[in-house]
Amino acid sequence: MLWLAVVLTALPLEVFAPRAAAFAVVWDKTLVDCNAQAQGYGLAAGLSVVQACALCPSLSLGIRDRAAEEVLLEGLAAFAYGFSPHVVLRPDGVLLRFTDNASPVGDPHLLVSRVTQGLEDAGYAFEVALAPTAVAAWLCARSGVRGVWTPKDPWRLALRSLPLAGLPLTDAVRDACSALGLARVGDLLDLPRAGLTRRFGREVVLLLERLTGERPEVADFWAPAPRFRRRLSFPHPVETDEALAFALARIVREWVAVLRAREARVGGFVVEMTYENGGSRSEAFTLTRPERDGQVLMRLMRDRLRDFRPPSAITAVTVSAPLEAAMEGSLPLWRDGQWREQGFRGLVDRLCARLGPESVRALSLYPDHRPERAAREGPWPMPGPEGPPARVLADRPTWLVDPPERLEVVGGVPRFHGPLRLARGPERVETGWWDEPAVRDYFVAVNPGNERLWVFCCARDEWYLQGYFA
Amino acid sequence: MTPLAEAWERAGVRRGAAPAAAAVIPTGFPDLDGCLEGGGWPVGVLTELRASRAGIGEMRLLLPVLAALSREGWLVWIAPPYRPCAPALAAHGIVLDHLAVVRPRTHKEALWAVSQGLLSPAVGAVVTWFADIRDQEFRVLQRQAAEGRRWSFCFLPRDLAPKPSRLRLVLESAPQGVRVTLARKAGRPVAPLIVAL
Repeated sequence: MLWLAVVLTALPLEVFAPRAAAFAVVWDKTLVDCNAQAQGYGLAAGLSVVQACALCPSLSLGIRDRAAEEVLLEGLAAFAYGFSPHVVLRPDGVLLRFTDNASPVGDPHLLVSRVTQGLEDAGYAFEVALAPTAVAAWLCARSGVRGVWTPKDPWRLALRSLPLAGLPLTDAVRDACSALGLARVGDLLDLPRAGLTRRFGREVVLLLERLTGERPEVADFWAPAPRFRRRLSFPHPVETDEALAFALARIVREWVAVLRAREARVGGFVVEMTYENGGSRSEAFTLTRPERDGQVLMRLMRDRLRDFRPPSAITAVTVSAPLEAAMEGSLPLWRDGQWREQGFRGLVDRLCARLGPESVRALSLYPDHRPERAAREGPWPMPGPEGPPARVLADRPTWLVDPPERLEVVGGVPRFHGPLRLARGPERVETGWWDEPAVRDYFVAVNPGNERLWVFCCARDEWYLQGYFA
Repeated sequence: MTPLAEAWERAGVRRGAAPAAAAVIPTGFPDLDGCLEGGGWPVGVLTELRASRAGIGEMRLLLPVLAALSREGWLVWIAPPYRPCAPALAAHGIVLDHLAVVRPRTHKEALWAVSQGLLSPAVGAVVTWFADIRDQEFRVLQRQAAEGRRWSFCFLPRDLAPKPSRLRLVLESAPQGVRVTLARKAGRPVAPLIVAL
């Protein structure tokens, strides 16, 4: 087993915007963390606010924001989930578990450098360490040693020289240790276990056993939320669609990373914009095929928002989407026909995003004798009706006139750009007694201009144009 | 070897390969195939169709080729003038699952939808109806049809000024068929013909 510890060393500060002047985060009248400028005045965590203000009169303070820290840790856990499905959330970092031979990148050094790269890109202050036990990895990271220890290395020996400060001991135990002159982990490990239990209690011995791997680690693993939701507030409200597109592109980048990590796709999503005047507008997008490509998602949003003029400046934009499991294989393995179908679904998605979902229609057959009901239009793609397939009737016109157009009748002969000659018919349609009774005699008619028409007569001298044989 | 070819040989003239014939798909009407360059509807050309009225067989002229294309690709119909009758299309062999009817609200949206259809590799054919279109817009669509290598057909009213198309057919009613005039085409001009439907 291998454990990778990621410790955010400045988590309380991380959730506040960076400042140029001395700044400290406070909880319960005590400093929790302070920035480099404040450290220059000799401030450190643990000082009281009164002492800190005496040392540095220009100090500005912020109250610790636990909720924001949790959100940040969730983001970190989602990032870590891309490397291992076994992520443990800690109050100031995450632990990732790997089996010895199933690390996603193989080489542990490469793994650590990948994680380091990702964290540096995200801009966190952090320490990472890899060790065969969770406690050892955490201790190593807490001590600021970027160690990469595998079971083949003499890691138990290396552990001995680390200071005790990195171990999660209670203050009473810590004080007792320093009184006994125990400063390093090795000093504590050398003591007989029975005596340690009597002196400090069972917990310390259990911790040491977990540290050296004599006792297995039991942990609750983090389960990712089944939704993606990201809100971006603008420091200054924006009105141009370029600024909005820029913000959306940033969200999409994060989103795609989450989708990749989770092997998920998007089947639909909602973009919500909050206006300065308090109003809001949400745009729902539905995809006919689940998608993971950031460029496709971005193009859908761009197409929809191209002609969008907000009534007032936008203060925040939120993207939320349920994550769908990717059931399909990867693209190049598809047969050509399937690949083309995916391509066509992409086209329909783009058309729907720009023109509205009701403007792309599919046709299907429906078993009904009334021609206006035999053809159905619906949103694309349209599943065929249940039951036996509808009878395909030849002799139906290409275009339907819906509703039918009443024809002028002169001397008993219907007229449409001239008198009609009935070429074929009648075909009696008598149905619909349950909802809308119809008794019609259909004819194929030809007018002097050689247009072939489909007309029906439903009562004496009452003629209608139903379609064109175009 | 002809004397001309011998003369070229002596003078050391290097002759390039003859231009490859453009891909075509048979129209389904042998008479019409014989009149079209290459023997069918050309790919990558936005074919301009001018029908004098509805109901003269203007769609029946296209249905064989559309049915063939719908079997492997998808069809996009943009802004048809009437409601298509699904049973009739199915009877003519069109795969209804492979047909999407797009009803844009404005002319600008229609142009955008046509260009999206022309550039999508999954689409077999694009059929579009316009009440009016500017020459410039037609040229852009024509270029995109060539770029995407799609079969595409554009129905325009009969009395509109000629558009800068590479193939224009004027359709008029005739008893037992449709009278087709190839008003503009590649190759030598041909006389109007009556296609029996």
